[in-house]
Amino acid sequence: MATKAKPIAQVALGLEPGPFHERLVAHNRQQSWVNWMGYASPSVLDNVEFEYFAIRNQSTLFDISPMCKYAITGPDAETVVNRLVTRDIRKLKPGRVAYCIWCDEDGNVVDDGTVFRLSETEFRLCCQEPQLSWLEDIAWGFDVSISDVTRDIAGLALQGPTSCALLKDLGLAGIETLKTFGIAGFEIAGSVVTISRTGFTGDLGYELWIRPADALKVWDALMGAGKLRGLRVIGYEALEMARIEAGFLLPKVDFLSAQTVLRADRANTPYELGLEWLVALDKPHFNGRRALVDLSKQTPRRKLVAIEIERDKPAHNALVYHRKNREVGMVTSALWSPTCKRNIAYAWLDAPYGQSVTDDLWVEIYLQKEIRWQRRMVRCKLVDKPFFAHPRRTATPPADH
Amino acid sequence: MSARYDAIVIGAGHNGLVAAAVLARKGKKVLVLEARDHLGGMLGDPDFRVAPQPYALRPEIARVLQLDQKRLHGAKPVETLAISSEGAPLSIIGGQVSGTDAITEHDYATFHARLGRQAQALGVMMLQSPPGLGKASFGEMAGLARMALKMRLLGKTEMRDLLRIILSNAWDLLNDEIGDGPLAGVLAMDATLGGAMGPRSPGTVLSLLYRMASQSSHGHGLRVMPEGGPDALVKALSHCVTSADGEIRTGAPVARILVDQDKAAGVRLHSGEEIAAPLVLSNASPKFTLMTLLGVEHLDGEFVRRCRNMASKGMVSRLDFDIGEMPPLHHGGKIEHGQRLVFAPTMEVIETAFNAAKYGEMPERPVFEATYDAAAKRLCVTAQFTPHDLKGGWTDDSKSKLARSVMAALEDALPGLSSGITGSRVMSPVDIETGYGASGGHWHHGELRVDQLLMLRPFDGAAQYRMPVKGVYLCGAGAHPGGDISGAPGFNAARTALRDGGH
Amino acid sequence: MKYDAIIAGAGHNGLTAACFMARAGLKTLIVEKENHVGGAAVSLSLTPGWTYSNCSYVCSLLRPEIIRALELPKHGLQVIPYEGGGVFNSKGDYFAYMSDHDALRRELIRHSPRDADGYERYSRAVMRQCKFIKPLLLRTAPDPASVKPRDISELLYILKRFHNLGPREMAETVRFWTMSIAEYLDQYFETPMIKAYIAGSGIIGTGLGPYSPGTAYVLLHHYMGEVDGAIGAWGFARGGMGSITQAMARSFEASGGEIRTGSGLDRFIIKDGKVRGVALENGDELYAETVVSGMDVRRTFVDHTDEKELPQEFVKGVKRYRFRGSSGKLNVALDGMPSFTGAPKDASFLRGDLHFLDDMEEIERAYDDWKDGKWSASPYVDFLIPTQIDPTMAPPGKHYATIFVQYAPYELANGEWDDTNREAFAETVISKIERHSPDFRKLIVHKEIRTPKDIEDQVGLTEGNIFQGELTFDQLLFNRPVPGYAQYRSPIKGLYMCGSSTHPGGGVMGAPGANAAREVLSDLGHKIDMGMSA
Repeated sequence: MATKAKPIAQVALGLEPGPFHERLVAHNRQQSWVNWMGYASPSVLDNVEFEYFAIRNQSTLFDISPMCKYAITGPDAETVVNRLVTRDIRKLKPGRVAYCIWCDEDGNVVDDGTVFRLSETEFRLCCQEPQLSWLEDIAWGFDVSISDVTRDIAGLALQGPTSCALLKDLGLAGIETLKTFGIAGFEIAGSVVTISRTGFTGDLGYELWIRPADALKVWDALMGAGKLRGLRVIGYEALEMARIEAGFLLPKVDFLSAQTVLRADRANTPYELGLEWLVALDKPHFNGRRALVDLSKQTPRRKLVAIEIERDKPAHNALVYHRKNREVGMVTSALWSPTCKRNIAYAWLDAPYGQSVTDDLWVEIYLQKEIRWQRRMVRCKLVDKPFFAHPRRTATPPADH
Repeated sequence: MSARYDAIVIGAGHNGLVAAAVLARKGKKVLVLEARDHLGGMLGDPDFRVAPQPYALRPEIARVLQLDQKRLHGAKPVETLAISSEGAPLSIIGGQVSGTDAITEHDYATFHARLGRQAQALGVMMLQSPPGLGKASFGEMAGLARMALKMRLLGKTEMRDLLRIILSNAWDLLNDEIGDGPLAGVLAMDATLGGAMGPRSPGTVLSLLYRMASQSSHGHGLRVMPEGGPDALVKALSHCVTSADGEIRTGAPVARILVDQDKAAGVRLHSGEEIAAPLVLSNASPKFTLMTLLGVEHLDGEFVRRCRNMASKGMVSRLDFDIGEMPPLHHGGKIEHGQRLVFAPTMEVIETAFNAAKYGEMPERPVFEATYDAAAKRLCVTAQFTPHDLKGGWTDDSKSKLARSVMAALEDALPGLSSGITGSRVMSPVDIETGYGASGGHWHHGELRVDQLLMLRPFDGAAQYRMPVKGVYLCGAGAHPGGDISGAPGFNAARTALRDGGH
Repeated sequence: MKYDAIIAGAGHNGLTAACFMARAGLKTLIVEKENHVGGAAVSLSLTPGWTYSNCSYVCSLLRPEIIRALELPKHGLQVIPYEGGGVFNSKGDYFAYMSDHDALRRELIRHSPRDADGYERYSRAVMRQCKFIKPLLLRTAPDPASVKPRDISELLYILKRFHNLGPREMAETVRFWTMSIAEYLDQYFETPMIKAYIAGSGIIGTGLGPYSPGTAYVLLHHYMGEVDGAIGAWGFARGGMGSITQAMARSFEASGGEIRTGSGLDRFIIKDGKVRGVALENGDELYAETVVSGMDVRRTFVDHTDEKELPQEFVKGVKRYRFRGSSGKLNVALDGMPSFTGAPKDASFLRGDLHFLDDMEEIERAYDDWKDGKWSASPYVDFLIPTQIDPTMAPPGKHYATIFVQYAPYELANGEWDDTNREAFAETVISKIERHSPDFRKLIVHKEIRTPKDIEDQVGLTEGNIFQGELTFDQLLFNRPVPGYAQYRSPIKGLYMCGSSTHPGGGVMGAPGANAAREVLSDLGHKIDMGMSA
């Protein structure tokens, strides 16, 4: 009888604390949070500029636990992952990570993320958007098990030139031999930690995968060792700056998942995103392959390009014009790069602009000067990604700073 | 593996045979592979036919295949007896009903003729490949335009009427036009038989019109038994294949469709034997063809999801009763060979039977058709609303329960029948599924509903016969225009394959 | 007395049409049988201190274009969104719907991570459908059998919009319009209770069960509402649904319109195939060249029009038009806030629509009862306590519950809707609620019971159908109410229809009224500016 049942508490409303929340609260002097998949994620802890420079100069900690994580395991795991992503995953050896995209049947990108090959039959997928039903659809009919392990694994991004030295200080033997996109297991403060040499900053850095119960212990150990290495806790805004410089795209900002669009023409193909290098058309059938074969022969109807803009005001939300009068596209991410000292952005340009027509492009920037808005047409040009590339990102062994 | 064949047709059901015949007559070297040891699929097993009551093969197809139309369609249309709980049965042949009052006779004739015209307007699409969504070819659009024109030619009133009733339910239409009773019961059976909808389910008018769109040389909507029975049709079709140098192998179940470089390469039999061919047409149901024979590894996840979601819950069981001689009807009258007896005295009874079936339960009072085959000394019963997903499963027990309840209803109308029965057999939807590669045991390989018709048959992305792997085609009832014995899916599929050419 | 236009019936559609016509400068009169305006959108006080939303109870479908054009906020309309909603099952668990997206996700994950994911796909699919259909609501449906340029261009407009969806979405749209809500939801969800919660919207007010093809569309009909641009959001009208029609009446009067309540219509005065005015029950005759009926199509043409004036085909169509009421309602004054055994007292989702269901089969079985001419033994209940948010409808600390009940037949197979049966019907509902809220019964101070028969008798909705006729395809778009007469005009020159019997149908939407006014005004050669272009 229902009358005898005890009431079930209502789930929490608002933002949820993540595994590192206690520590983040202490560091978050600005008390500013953003919503990342329902978790409270710091936006700026004290000063975005200092936090940014710590990424490029010392080392930084950022909580990446809210990232969606899925375990794909079983005899058919390789087949299923290979069926999911556009890269040839058969070439990915155990202990390695690959940046991947996956497409729907029309060849539109569903999401991007990193595939961790933990063993012959165990994979982990890290991405921005929930993918459970998508993965289950792809895996239907195969001998594989899929589970959402988002809440089972806490994640920390340790990024910056001194990050390797910091880990060495903690006694992580052999961390210096870990190559870019490599994975290895270590122990920190008595806890088992999986470390991958990956990141979103374009700099030397690692991502640490920890059992939630050990989260605070590992955090404290890192912060302790970090005192000598200039370790700083950072928020989303600083990371976003480094992300743009590093040439990475952000779903929901630079492009929309084909699963989330309401208007069919808002979805994007790998060719439009400039990610064709991730598409292996010659491997066995994978999702969207037939559509991608056709698309590979066509001119993309628009293209996401990297541009450099004259003068120094970032072109947030700006429209792009040809010959100052014809609207041909829009900016998605913009930044005055403090390290490169360049005014950079990503922009969508409708064909043929950005493809066969690349000159005489202008960006319309609105500036507020003491309440008054000013409109400025500024010349821009197409450039190659990434804007920031440093050899220390891939150097093995990495230097101490 | 050398390609001795231009094309392989999986399954020698009537659609498979039609497809093979069309290909063979165009000079293709065709091999038909049949899992069972008889031809004709659901029509074919002389010991226990799934579909003992063929509708007419489309005359256009008979013409193209140069079949003997006289033998196929020449026999007089089947007479339907609507058995009512009280009083004598009504006799129905097409638009003619007798045994009722003059007003009903007249109303029914008018109504039947109007439905017939409306059905014919829709029937234009039967021998057309359905248009692709958003990327229809000129020919496909022309087909649609022809249908639109045909609808306009009905005149404003009938066109408006058609657009009003097309998605509605048989219950309301029949209540409006002829009132509930044995006559409405027969039409409601036509509207629901084989499907998983009751007379009150919206969409049943469309399935009624679908049945009415079937055509024979006697006109539309008439059931005709070929001279010599279903075997004659099967024999004629298979002769059509073999006389054009096509080969037919029985007892040769296909295990897999072979794929090379994203193109059809042939098939592998259960025996392990591999047979090469650049063109493979499957007469099996879409689900079975795609997920079992072809394999999901060749298909996109969304495509597989749509395939899984396809509605194909079978509702029909077949029962055969061996009987030397049929007793006379309770209300007088002899049962003749080939007559179709419909045991659905009202739409309400049908709906009540459906009520149980939708929850996976067996109806207390079954609704069914029965035909007496004098030659085989057999009463063939097609019982509706016996769900594939029966709670507790299809056991010997549930089968004999069904047989008992059918027999009780028969006994009411034909007193003394049960004492003459010398043997009986029951084939459940599960038996049909396993025996004939028809997922869900569905007669039509998939529910005939608006969301699974035309460019959505069997489902979005798999319409127009072509499957994602080049050279693989669907040619069974799961493809447009759907089930019953029209031959149209096989015909259209083969023509599409020929048009695509180059395999 | 001579008017430019007379509107029969002061329901929300009659009022909407009247407002637009008065604003266009027509001398407009509304005649209303009851002593109050509002039709099925009323707030009445039946026991001191309490105000009920006696019939309709949700405000979300009312088109924002109409709210703005008629300046309803200025005339007192305030709409407050629900804070949630939920369903309790018989095992003591519940599913809580919350407008906080993250909280909702957590709740879905509590039941099934798969459903949490499915919900994202589902809500986008429905959103896409809403985007497609919304612009069609305030347009007149084209007649596909007509060759008039206007019909053809309107048909092309719809086809073009359809085509612009792209191939995948076109297929989705056809499926959405024709599938059953049960099968539609099976594609996205696995938790029976969650499916049942959503499926309810597919059957409210209909003569269909969740397994019936066509119910997915009905879901859309309830979903395409919005509160301040939040698509699919539902809201309470502050002061009850009557505040909508009160605001309309004030808006109408501010534009110079006149309302006569307590003036039941006897018949439409027709001469030479043209309408001349109306004759009231009290014998008064009022004249106008334009008369618009807000009543349902059967009342308008069978009860109040001389059949001889109408073409036979039309009469046949009107008589065939199906009502078949399927809903009942209880309005209950409560001495305090009832508690629910399944949920904590302060749970936020209680401030929304509550249901008591295990699965969709329970709703389908409730439908089977209705088919047999019985009220559902275990009915689908849409239970709301607006006084948790609205301070105007009950004394402080007291509450008002609106309880919508599906299914109840218009005609009982065994017996009449007499007091015994009405009480027995209410008892079925109350005891179902009591199973989840043990103190509910003893908190009841007063109750109003409305069976379909009562709804017909008291509100004038034929057979108690809340939509003025079923929302099945044969009665939608160009088929509503009668093929060939789906553009608000009737066979009688000058006599128009503006009730929910016309496209796009029922719900407190106002679209039929606005569309009818547009057709009337265009026939009168008025330049149409309904302020709805934005």
